[in-house]
Amino acid sequence: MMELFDAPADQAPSPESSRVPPRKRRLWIFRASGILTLWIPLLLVALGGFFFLSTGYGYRAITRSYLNSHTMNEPLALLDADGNPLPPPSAKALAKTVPVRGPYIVIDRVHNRLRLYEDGKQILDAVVSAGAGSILEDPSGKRKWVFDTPTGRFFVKSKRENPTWTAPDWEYIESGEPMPRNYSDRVQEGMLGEYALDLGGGPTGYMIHGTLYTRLLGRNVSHGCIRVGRDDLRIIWKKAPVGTPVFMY
Amino acid sequence: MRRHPAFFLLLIPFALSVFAAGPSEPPFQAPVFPGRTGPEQARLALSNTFYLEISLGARELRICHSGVAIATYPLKSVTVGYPRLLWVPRHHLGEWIDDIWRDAHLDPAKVVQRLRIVPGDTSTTPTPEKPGVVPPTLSELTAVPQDYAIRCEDDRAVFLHLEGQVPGAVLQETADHPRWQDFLAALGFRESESIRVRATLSAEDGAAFFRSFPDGHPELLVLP
Repeated sequence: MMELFDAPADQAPSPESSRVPPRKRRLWIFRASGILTLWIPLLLVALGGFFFLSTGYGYRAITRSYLNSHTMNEPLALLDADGNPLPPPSAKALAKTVPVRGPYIVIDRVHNRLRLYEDGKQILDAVVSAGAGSILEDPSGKRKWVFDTPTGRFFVKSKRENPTWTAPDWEYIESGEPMPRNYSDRVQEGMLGEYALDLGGGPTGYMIHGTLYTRLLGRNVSHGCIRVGRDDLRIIWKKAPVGTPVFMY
Repeated sequence: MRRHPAFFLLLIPFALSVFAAGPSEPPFQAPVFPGRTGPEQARLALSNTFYLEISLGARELRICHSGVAIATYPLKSVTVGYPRLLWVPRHHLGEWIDDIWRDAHLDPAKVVQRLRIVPGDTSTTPTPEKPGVVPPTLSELTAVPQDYAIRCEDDRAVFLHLEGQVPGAVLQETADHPRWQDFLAALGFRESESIRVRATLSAEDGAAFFRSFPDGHPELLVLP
């Protein structure tokens, strides 16, 4: 603008001379308009980013010294739902419940595995077939079955050699066959392999038993029972007496 | 009071029978649950329910029942997270290890896609002779996300990240980015955890744990 005032009076200002020189026009970012339109938003973005990075969750590794300094020390009292103190569990009850000695069976129904332990040591890892988890409804709509292997703790209640299978109603509904009139017509031989270990539970009870469908071991195909291959079943039969705890998860 | 000598003669058969029978029960071996949570572990062992253990020292996650760890999942790394504002912790975590966390549940929840059997349709049923159509396994019916959390009472949580390709069905996550969620939580727009344990598992172990997570909101023991 100074150039405009320095021009002689008789000379009319030309349109070119009224323009701002390029060198000075570049500096607009340092003037008020530049600060408002560029620097303040940039500063706000930077502050926002700084705030974003500094906020949220910080993490630290759990080392041995961290464990020592953050472990609770005051004794933990057993309380009931109303906050009243409870007596400590009896050692005898614990000895009966916790299988410290002897055999126990663990069944992973998701991955179709059966593991047999003796005195806390694994002695068998077998591929089995657990429940398919499928749903069957009676066409009349009155009854419904979910073919899940149950979860929780069970016990071997009884053991049977050359067991027979009494087909329940769902077997006939699933296959679309007519329901037999006589009970004896439901009894089938050879379906459960050489041995069956009864676990109880459910209306008809669950079993660990053999199978004709050895090709399907490792798949979820059963109606809730645990199907085991012949050689593994022989080991289970030998090592798991009546009363053996069976954990299914 | 003096007794007749014949009275003691009567006691002889009884005493003999006691000696002959020996001890009525074999000496039992009581399990020991040491540490601060020992009484709770003993109570849980007798409760006939599933419960969980996370051992920070041994770096293991366990599914337990009746005092037995029936499944163990090794953790590759464990860290603890604390909510912070301008890099300053919002509250002091204090002592939090060797405690029991209640009401554990998965986030997102586990969903099993169940198949319905068509009565009378034997076209897909396997027989000893023909394979039929092999139904999917529970691993294929239960989708697992790459990241999930075990949430407990009092806003405590264990965040689990699965390293690698999840086997079986994968649950695609649609939620916001975790960093953005943490930012909103720090500002009070979302619920934040008072303690957040973050652990990494292999995809196989993490998926197996998710699919086997016990129903019924089990209790979680956080062990040193």
